[in-house]
Amino acid sequence: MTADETRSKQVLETTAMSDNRAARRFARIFPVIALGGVLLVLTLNVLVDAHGVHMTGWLRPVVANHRLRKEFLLRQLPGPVELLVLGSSRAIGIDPAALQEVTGLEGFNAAVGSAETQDYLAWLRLFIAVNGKPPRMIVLGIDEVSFANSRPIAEAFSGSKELLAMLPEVDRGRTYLPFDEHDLGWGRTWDSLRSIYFALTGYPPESDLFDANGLGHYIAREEALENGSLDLEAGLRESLTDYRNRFAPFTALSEERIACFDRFLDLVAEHDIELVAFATPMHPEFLRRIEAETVAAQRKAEVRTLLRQRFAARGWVLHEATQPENYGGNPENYYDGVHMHPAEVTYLVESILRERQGKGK
Amino acid sequence: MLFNSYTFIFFFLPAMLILWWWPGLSRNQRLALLTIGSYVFYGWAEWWYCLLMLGSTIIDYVAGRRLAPDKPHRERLAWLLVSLAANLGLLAVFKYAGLMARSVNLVAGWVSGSGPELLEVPDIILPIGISFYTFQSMSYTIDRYRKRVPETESLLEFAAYVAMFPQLIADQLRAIPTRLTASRVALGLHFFIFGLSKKLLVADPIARAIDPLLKHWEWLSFGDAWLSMTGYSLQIYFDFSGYSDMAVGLGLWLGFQLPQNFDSPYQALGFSDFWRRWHITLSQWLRDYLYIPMGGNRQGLPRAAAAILVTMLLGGLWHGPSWTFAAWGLFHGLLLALEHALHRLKLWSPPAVLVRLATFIAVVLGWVLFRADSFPMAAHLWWVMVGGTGIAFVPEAQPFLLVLATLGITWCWMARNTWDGTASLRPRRAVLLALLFMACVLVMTRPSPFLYFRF
Repeated sequence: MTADETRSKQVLETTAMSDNRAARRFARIFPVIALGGVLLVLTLNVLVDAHGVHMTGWLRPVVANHRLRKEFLLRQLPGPVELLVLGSSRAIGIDPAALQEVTGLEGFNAAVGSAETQDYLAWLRLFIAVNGKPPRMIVLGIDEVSFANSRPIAEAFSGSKELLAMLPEVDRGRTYLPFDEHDLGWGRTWDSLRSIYFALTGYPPESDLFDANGLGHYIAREEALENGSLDLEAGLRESLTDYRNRFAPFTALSEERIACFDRFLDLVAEHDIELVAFATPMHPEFLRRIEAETVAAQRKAEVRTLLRQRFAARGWVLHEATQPENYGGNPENYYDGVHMHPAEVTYLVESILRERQGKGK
Repeated sequence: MLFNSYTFIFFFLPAMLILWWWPGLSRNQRLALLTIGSYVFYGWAEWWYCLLMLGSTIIDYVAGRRLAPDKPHRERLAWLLVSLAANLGLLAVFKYAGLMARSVNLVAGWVSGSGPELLEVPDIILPIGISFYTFQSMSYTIDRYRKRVPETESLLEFAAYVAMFPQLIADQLRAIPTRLTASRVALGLHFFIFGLSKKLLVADPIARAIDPLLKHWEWLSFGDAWLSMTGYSLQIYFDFSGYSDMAVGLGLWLGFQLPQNFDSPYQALGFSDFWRRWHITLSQWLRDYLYIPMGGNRQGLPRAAAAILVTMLLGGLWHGPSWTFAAWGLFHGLLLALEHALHRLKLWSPPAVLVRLATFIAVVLGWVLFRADSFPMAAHLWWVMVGGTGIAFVPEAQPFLLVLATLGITWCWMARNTWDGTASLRPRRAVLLALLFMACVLVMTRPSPFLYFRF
């Protein structure tokens, strides 16, 4: 008999013990404490809702929820502004101050992470309501995934009741979404505890993720860029993982999102707003790989067809900036597959604006 | 599906246990449940993984029937070869095709100078668990050929034996228990929760600390290199032994007894002892199906040394399609052969504490080959670790890792392992396990596959 067989036998002998009292007590205590603890954590995280995903609204979310932060910043603007930047995290780094030098218009950047077409519409309506008048110009960065049919349209608002209220025509789905696995995680539990603490002692000032004009900063990445430790290769890999997941459930363009986009364009036309729209670029290597591995190329073609059709019908121009070479950019100036350095994204928009000015539009 | 996922712990496992212990189920119904559940488990990421396992199972089931002792020797040999070819063929295609193509291209490049690649390197995803179930399945036909095991009763029984998600030993399927005792629940909890904690609370934090260091291996200092490789030694132990403990716990809940797979390997006194304590089931497989058939230690020192080297080389390659794994196996083979020779010659018997320390240090150096993505990385790490770039240790540079490594080593050297502490059924042990479970649940949001899943 080998050593491990001896061990197996010992355990077998132990387990062969009769169902004694100690074992029964042991087998009862464990589930009571373990499952009780799990339920407690789940209840705490859903009710406190520190990330603002369940919309319980009992306490103010404590994490960087782009939509909530930008709503707050929009309301803090000292006076009306005339330029509005819309788009996803890829447009967060567009600096309204730099655009003002080209256009002369003071602006606000309302781009938010994972923005979809319903964001464009909701943000424009909210902007008009808060600003008191429509903008004279909108700079819009459009991603293909903004038209994805991957999730319920209301889910994308992740906690912003105010934005959701701007879309009365949209099917809101369930307001109270079912809990997700993060409600069992340490990150959300810690934030729930912080949320309760802040509710009792007062909230800290807004984080410095966004400037007052909505310009976003990826603090860690900007620091890495500054001290030369930025790893583009790692960033490209992260983007691949992220976008594989984004394109996997993107089986067709979402009819609801197309409808929101159309309403947005109608609103732009109605207020005679100048729309500077561009298809957001990707890093060439990332683009090559994501198109090889996913349905990205097919979805991109579908989105382009739709956009060209909509823009042509109004006599507008969609600026193709799919790759750095389209706008004279530099693929080295990327954090990852889709996010550009702040200077690069501002350069992109400035070059589009100058080109338009050169053409008299 | 991962043991350390919400899906497994809160949905798959409870559903499986409820159905498994459902009153009145016949043995065949339970075997079917076990097989289907195991296929769901394996096929969770990619359903076609199951087809491979099913193919291997059917071939070996048929081969096993044709390997009846009363059949002519030639026919039996032919069916054994069919089984070996099928299983090794699966491994060759899905695991080693890329390595073979890269190696051929490398050699062709050396011979002809630079030029176009001779073979296209296939981009094949390694199906989860393929190395485990092909060996499991193949061992049955080999044992049938050797007339050591009876024929399996049915395809269903054999399919359950090959597929069972926590893995098990075949003879227990003959007498499936019909009642779950509180003792089994308690002991299952002991193994499962401690295993889960080893993975999530020890191995994963260590991995998060050492991965950034090893990513920039060119810049590691002497101290950082030792710290990161000691950390990796701990990570791989806690990761894999944690997985094995969880499997034992699951087995207990299903009424089975799985063998011990780790026995405090870093307390080993020598390399033979290490391999008696590390991945015991694989060591035994290699011993029974490779080392002993090659003559073992019965035919003189040179023959035994050659058998050890070949066995360990193949054992290393079993871990992955990379020559660094083969080199790791060869490294251990050399150490084992050397130890074997020294033992026979009885030259010197150093104190046990020195033997333990030397064994541990050599094992850590061996893990360099195992962890390295390439030979240049391994060579550089070794060079740094032997002081080639200077000897400097700045403990404050990696305080978290230093504390983790110190605690981990102390645990590995001093503490009892999971199998030594099974007797306590005190309420405070139940509370401790429940709190550990809660801690694990809180950190389970990060997906973290087990290291051995990639093998």
